[in-house]
Order: sequence, then structure tokens, then C-alpha cells
Amino acid sequence: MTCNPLVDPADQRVPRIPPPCALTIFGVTGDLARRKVLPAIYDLANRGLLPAGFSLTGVARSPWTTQQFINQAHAAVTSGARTPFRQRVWEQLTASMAYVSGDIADPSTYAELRQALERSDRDFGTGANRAFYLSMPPSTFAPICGHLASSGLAQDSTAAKVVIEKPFGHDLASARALDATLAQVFDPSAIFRIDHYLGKETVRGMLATRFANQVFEPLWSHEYVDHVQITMAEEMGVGSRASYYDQIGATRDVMQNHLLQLLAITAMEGPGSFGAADLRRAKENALAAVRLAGQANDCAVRGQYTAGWQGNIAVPGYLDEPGIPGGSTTDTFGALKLEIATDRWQGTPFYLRTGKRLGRRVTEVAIQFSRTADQVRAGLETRYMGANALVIRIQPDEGITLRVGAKVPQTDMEVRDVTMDFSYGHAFTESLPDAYERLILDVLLSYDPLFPGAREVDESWRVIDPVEQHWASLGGPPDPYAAGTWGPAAADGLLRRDGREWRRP
Amino acid sequence: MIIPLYAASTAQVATKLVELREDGGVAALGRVLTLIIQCEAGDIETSIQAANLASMEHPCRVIVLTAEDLDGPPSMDAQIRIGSDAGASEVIVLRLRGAPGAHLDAVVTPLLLADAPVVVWWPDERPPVPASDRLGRLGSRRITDTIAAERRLSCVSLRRSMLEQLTSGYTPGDTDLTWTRLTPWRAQLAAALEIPPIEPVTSATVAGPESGGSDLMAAWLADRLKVPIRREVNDSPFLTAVEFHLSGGRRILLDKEMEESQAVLRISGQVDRVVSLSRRSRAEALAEELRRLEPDDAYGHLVTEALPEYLAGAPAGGEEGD
Repeated sequence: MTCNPLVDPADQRVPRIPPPCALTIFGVTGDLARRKVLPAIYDLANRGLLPAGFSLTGVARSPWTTQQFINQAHAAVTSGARTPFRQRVWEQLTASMAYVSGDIADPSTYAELRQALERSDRDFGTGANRAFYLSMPPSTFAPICGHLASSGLAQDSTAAKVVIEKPFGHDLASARALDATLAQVFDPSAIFRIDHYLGKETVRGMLATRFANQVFEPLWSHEYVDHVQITMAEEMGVGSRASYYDQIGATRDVMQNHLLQLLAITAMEGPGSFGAADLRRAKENALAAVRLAGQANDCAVRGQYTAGWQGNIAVPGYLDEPGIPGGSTTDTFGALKLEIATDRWQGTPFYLRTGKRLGRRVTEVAIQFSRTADQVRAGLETRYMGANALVIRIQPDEGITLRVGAKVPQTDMEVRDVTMDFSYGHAFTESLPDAYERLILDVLLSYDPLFPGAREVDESWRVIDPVEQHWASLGGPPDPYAAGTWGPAAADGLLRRDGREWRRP
Repeated sequence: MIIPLYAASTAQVATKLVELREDGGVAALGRVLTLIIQCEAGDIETSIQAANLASMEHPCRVIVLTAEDLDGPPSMDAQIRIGSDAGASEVIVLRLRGAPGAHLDAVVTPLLLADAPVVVWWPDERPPVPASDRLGRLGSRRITDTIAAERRLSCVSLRRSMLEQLTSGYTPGDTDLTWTRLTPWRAQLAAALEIPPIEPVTSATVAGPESGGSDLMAAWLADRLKVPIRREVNDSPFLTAVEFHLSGGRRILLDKEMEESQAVLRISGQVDRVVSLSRRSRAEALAEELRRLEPDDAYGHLVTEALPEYLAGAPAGGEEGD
């Protein structure tokens, strides 16, 4: 690529348009494909960023025709796309769309897919470059990969890629097995694991916040940081994912991937560069140094929501949700106290929490600074002042809040918290590209710094496995918490023992 | 909301802005830059419209200036626009008459956002040397639009002199929307060269009108590819096609069809591919300019070295097409 005379590193205006590619989505009738993937592909088309020579083939069990698939995709795009609907863009995209109906275990499905892809190579110039997006449960990966290989679809070129979504296994052993399955067919560099949090502009922005700012970077260590809180709270209950969710639980569902990735970006050392390899190595090293800050019993809390009020709406408890077996001990809330064995973070705990049916929908990283010596020595009236905090708001209302103390007017030396607020929505764009838009484009470009590598996944399970094993050995129900609150009392106890408190996000 | 301030002073305008901010909360806190627009009175509304659209991506304070009747009695009528009349920005319109019109830098100084970068945009007539213009000196980025100015110039030699201004007056931080409008073309052309089989380009053809845009495209290709560039002149208002001739005898043709947002990529021996290639609106081009506020060195190289070299080699009327 570097030999392309029209590509000039000094010329930063020109967006990179990927080389030709035939994209196949397995499970295209599923929720994720409809809500996220199809709208993102349309948005890319609308922005002129899809390759010259692109085709989209959907594979699923529903006995649809291609026209029915296009109709469904139209509904998905008009309700989910970020950019305005343009008929010509849509027509151009649909011209390249095809649908293969069939069972993923049936070889004839792949024979038909093969025909569709050969047609696409011939009619749209996709040139045997193939990407397979497995928007399917992990149990299907092995049969799909096997059939892709045996039908020659993934092996007749060096340009076959595979895209998978979490969960990347349910523990270290299954993650490795999953990886081995994929690696039999695809080169490790051609395996793209989507953690959509890493596609969010705000998460990318964390790197800039940390490493481009002299006012923050020197403070980013145990010397000035008392502790870090990472929160991912959902308002929603288990919804339509009941049977899947009940086998997984909150900790495996999001702690293992989203929260530990946020932790890695927060805690890592400065990477040698922001290129893929350096960035990944920095994250891997951070994750490799993470461990539970003691015994699982003292450092991990699990909870399960009971009936309560989500704002003004009465909602049922987890055990009363449709599709959840009575007596389920699945965690809908998890909190961990972790430490990071590096010089930078010696003695600074990282508290992570996530849950469904919490007070409101929010994801944030809060750096809680230590108090100044002068607060105590000079007798400043700081009873109403918390410690300084830098809060990176990932969603919603993406931005940064810096909490500082200021003197209350007309008092002697009374200090109270005030916030300095920066909002991406105000300072930059009204419409940030969706994470999937960014990630799908990166897959097509084979640009992979935003995709967690196999070692990152392994290191994350190494942290989570002992906790899950501990909970499994306990049996019994998780600690209850009423829907609409911030989790079980034990989660508060986790911090209170250390003389700390959770933020109310 | 539009707040008119007749026969105003800049101090009154500045005071009113602070008042509005205190009444309304946070307006202006998230602004990342000040955009100064100097235009003709007739172009105020269209320029504000473009700036408001661009401000959706880059919230800014927009200051629009017009200066008329420099010898007449001095006066200034102002408007402050906020809310739905100002996109994601706040707009200040200053219509000057008389002597202050020759001191626009002094007029805007009290109204610039603290610390934030200043970008100056001339939507129509450009100063000969933007960086030494009174307003231009305030800006870290100076945006001109020679195409807009060029439309009034039918004569090729006058057009040449506009292009020569890009060269002779260039200071890092200058850019021109003529170049910005070529970005989608350049992205597609760069991507086309990455479609296998990859072979060196031996010559290229640029088809389009006698215009600065075609000249810049040809100069860029000549500079990057180091091959002869032919011009095929037609009377379309915009660039119509670029063709590469490859060493193996194959051709790559990016052919802009009549339809607004598409083009066809024709590669010898391969199926035709439809690609997205929109004609840029002024607002879209402006938004791209505001995305990067450091000097565009690639553009600098183009106008100071590649363009003069290209113009020196190409006869004024362009080569004959076949």
C-alpha cells in the first residue's frame, strides 16, 4: 500500500477507501445485524467509504428471497442509520445485495453462498476478497468455519477475514478453544473481535486526554490518584436476551470485555506509538498486571435485581422476567476491586461495576484524586467538598468533567465542589460516527488497533475466572437489589471498607 | 433568535453577548474556534447558511463582516443570531460603512473567543495575499475560494493569474476550497490504484472544463505520479473524468456521471464498478477545512511547487483532446 504514489502521509485530507470486498453476514436477520450492522454499512456507503467493488450477502435460516432481505434491510436502515436516507445510495447498495437462506450446518448452504460470492466477484468486481461477519452464537463458529474451509470459501485467497462478536468464550479454556477453531481457518491477523466500546470516539479520545495533556499525564499514577471507578450501568432489564443472558450473567457479559478494556486504556503505560502493534502491546501489558485485590470473597460482589421502580415505571424482578428459570442464580450486577501490579499503580485500587436495572444508563471512568495536604493543614472548610475527580463520560453525553473545589462567595474559606465540563456534543460534532461504522470500515481496511487480540481476551478471563469459580462454589442467590437503585448493599460495603464511596454517576 | 443592534459599537455587541450567555446558560462554552467571514452584502445569508451547517460539526462563533462605502460617514449595524438561527454556533453580523471598513481587524478583536483558533474565510473575493490581509493576519487558517471568484472570469489568462495568486501569496495556513472539493476524487483515485493487479501508471488524462479545479487536479497527478498529464477540455462546469494508462496497456477510468453522487470506475478487463463520488456543497467543503487547523503542508507543496511546474509545462489553452 505504501507504494501507492497517490497516498501521501503528509496529505491528511484524503480518507482511505478500502480495497474491493464481498462481505457476508451470517445471522443477518438477527437483532444486532438489524440494529447496528446494516445501518452502519449504509452510513459508510453514504459517506462514500465503501470500496469500489463491494457486495453484501446475508445468510440466515429464514426462508426469504433476496427481495425480502432487501425490504428488511430497508426498514433497518431507515430506522437505524445516522446519515440521511438517499435513494441513489440505497439503490447502489441493494444492487449488490444477495440473500442465502439455509442452515449453517448444511453443506448446500455453502454451495449456494459460493455461487452468490462468485456472482459478486463477476458482477461487482469484489475480486475474491472476502469478509465473513459471524453475527451468531459462538457455538456455531466451529461448524461455520469448518464449512467455509471445506467449501474453499475461506481458503482460495489470502484475503479472507472473519469478524466475531462477544462473548469470546465463557472462560479462559473456552476462549482458547474458540480461538483455536478460528485459527484453523483464518490467519490470526485476519480475525477481528468486535468490542464495540473500542469503536466509540470517546474511548479513542481517552488516549488523547491522557497522553496529549500535560495537566493530566503527570498526575496519572498512584502518587496523585486515590482510586479509579469504572461504571457501566444499564437501565434495561434482561429483555429479549433472557435465555442467553441467564447462562452468562453481567460479569461475563460486559465486565470481561468492555470494562476491562476501559481499564486497560486507563491504566496502560504510554504506547511507543498509536499504531496497532504498540497500542495492543501496551494494553496487553496492562491487562497482564491486573489481579484481584485479595480473596474473591472480599473483592467481588454479585447482585440480582428484584422488582422496583425504573423512574416512574414499575418493573419486575429478574426471576419474574419471561424466560428466566425460577431460582436462577445468574448475576445481573457485578462489582470487583482490582489492583494493577505496576510501579505506576502500586496501591491504587480500580473498582469496576456493571449491572442491569441500575439508576440510569451511564458508562464512565472516574479518576478520583487524593486530597491535598493543605486541605487538612490549613484548615480549609472542605467538609462539603469531595476529592478532585476527572470523569470521562463514555455514554451518554460523551465528554469530560473535572471536579474541583472553589470558595463559596461571602464565606470565610468555605470550599465546595464545582465542575468544569467539556462535552463532545458541544465542542465537536452533533453526530459522532457510530462505533460499528468505524469498526466495519477498519475491518475492510484491515486496520486493527481497535480490536482486542487473543492475548487480551486470555488475560481478561484470567482475571474473571477465579471470581466466577468462587461464585459457583458459593451457590445460593446473589445479593438482591431493587431495580432502579445502584446495586446491592454489599457493593457499597466493598468501597466502604476502604473508606471510600461509589460516585453517583 | 435574531437580535438587531442598530448604529452599534463593538463594545455594545460584546456586552450583549455576555448578557445572552448569562441569561441563557452555557452558549459559547463549547465553541472551538472563531470563524470570520468577509463577504459582500449580497452573500451574507448564503455564507451564514454554509457556516451554520459546518458548525454542526465544529461549533464556533461566526463573525460576518461586510464593508461598504468606505468614504461615507462611519456607522455599524450589528445582529446577533443564536438558537435556531445560528446552527450550533452563534453568529454576529457586522455591516460597516465608512472608515472602520478599512480596519476590520480592530473591529473584530474584542469579539474573538479567548485563546481559540481563528479561521478567516473569504467566500467570494479573495485578498491577493491572504496572510498579509488585516483579517488574514488574525487567522491561523485562511480559506479562500478561487472557483467562486473564477466564475466571473471567462478569460484564461485572468484565470491563470488567480492560480498564480495561490502560488505567490501562499503562506502556511492558507487553503482554497477549490482543492477541498477535489478530496472525494482524490480518495477514489488513490483507492483505484490499489485494486489488483497493481501496475505503474505511465500517463494520465484529466477531463473537465478550463478551470482552476482541473488545473489543480492535473498538477497534483503530475507531481505524485511523475508522468505526463493530458488535458481534455469540455464545457461541463466541473471535472468529468480522470484516466490512468498503465504500463501493461490497461486503463483505469474514473468517470463522473451526470448523477449527483456517483461515478463509474472502469478498469480494463474488469467489471464496471459504481462508486460514490459526491459533488461537495460549500458547507461540506468548509466543514472539511475546519477539521484540521494546522497548515496543510501537502497543499502548500502543491501550490508552491507542483502547480507552478505544471503551469510552466502546459500551454495556456490546455492540450488538445482527442
